Amino acid sequence: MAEELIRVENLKKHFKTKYGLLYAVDGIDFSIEKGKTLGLVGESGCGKSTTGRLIMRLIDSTGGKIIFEEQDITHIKGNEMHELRREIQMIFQDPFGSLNPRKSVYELINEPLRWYNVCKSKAEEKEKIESLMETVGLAQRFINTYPHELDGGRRQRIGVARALALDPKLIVCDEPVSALDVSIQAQILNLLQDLQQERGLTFLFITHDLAVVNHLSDDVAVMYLGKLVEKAPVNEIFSNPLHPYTQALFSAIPSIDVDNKRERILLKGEISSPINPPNECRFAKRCIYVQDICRQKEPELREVSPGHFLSCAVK
Amino acid sequence: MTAKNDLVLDISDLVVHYETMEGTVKALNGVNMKIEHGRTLGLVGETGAGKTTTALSIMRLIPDPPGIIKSGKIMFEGNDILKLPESKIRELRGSKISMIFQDPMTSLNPVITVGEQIAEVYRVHETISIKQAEEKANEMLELVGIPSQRSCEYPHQFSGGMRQRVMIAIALACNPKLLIADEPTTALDVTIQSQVLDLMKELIKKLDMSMIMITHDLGIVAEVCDEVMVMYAGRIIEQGSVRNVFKNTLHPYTEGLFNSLPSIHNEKERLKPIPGLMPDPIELPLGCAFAPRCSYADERCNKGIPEIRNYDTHSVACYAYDRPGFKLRGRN
Repeated sequence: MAEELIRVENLKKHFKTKYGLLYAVDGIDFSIEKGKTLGLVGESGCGKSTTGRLIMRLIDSTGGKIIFEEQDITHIKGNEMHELRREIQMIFQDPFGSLNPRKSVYELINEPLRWYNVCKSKAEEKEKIESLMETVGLAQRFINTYPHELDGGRRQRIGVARALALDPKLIVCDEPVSALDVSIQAQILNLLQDLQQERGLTFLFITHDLAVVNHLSDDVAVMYLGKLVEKAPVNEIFSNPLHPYTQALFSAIPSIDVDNKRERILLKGEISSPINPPNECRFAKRCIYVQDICRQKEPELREVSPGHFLSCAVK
Repeated sequence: MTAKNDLVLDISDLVVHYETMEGTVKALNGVNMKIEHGRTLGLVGETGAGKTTTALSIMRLIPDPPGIIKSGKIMFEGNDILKLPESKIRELRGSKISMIFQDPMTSLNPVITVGEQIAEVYRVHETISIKQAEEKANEMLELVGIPSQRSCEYPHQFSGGMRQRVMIAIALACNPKLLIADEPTTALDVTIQSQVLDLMKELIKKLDMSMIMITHDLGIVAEVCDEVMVMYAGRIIEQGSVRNVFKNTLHPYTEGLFNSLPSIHNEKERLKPIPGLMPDPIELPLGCAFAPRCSYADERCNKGIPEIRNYDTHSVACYAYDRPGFKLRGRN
């Protein structure tokens, strides 16, 4: 058995709003083994980015536990927190918004290094930055350029270099390729895959793009309104999706196969409000299989076959 | 080929440049495009390929300065759009030719109710009382699947998918002949995207329109369009029916696009991205713009620019097909 790197238990994040409590993340459990990738999928507002930020400890959780390398990191502070950030890094969606426009590529990649006093001398620093640039496939001639001079793909490579600078164990990738054109997207996906193999990195891959998830992940977790509705190994979930939402989500992806038109499950309506949700299955309002039992209480996530977890009262 | 009177739009040799401080951006370099009545054309390509510039030229909305339409003709209903006076163009826009934009939040006025924004189209283009315009606006709302009681709400009270429905209602209010949809679903979630695409398909049929669907998503093209044009660096490099282009891909760039796509069927296989980047439109290479990234290129490709011509099932702009027996390596 591979070792578990991170585990979250009953993780919750509620935000106070004018209209009541917003249940952004409402009791989710998952774990990721070392060197593996968990794909976290869902639509806008389902809480997937909030989950990423909770794990990064960028925001504090309302309840539950985050266990990283068998240590409870849910409430650590100060020095411990500072050390933890070396281990968990993040790649953001928007390579335009996440880089300081007034810093050159050299300074941007140097930021994490300087923060942790990684390099003893200027020469070592330069060497380290150059080697990071090489790792992510950025030509040395860009070392003194600024983000606005670079295209989206190269900017995202800077983001990857920054995340790698401290040799983290876990990288939270929040939609790292959704702002890029397909040909560039493929370059970045290949890069991430290579890095994972070379360095044994563990990824939490947050995305709404199911094709990308299928390509990269070992396990897939589907989120809907703050809850996990289904979780399974990647091959299992794509060949045998069980939750009505997962099925609808998969069938909604436009396919490039002109011969094989799949029957699409058109969902009615839209994601309902995460503010004070009623005590019923959160998908009940849009579900085509809905029955009385779905409206009586929220279903629990249970194991239906080895490794395949489902939260649905009907299926 | 169909008879000429069946053509809704006929663009020939359109050249558009943007004069900037850094130099001349050659956005479109001779685009030819014909759309037949009732057909949906998909215009695909990456950022900077010239898709949106093409659309804006048809609407005569190229910002000037810095944009200059150097040459070309855009024939619509027997008139060259590029030669029409501004007053005539204003009559066309929104009535005969409409456009839907990518971001429904920034294209709606936040301080006017959605009902009024739809009614405005009628008041501009038709002699009609305010009351009648309101009634027609309510009908439009129902048509796009929004209860008409919501006509007095403001855009911020609607979700992204609903806002895009409002945009569609505005665009279709006057029964246009041609609808240009510029990445209409890119900002939406997949389940909402499929709702909006379904609605658009249904309305196109119902109202008997033609459509140009600008997108970077080949899946959407396969679902919605009849024909497809692939753009690269301001030129059309492959064109044909969706089936032919998808099943019998001819241009190396189109093949590269398909190979870059992670598929939900064959996972784990390594993607084969196109190496390099699209050339800077300020300094286009002398020859074929794709040659520097093309694994099939030879010296000839770096010297001249290939014309688009018929080959096998459809049209392609590539010199390689002059080589005897040339074939692409095929997709993974």
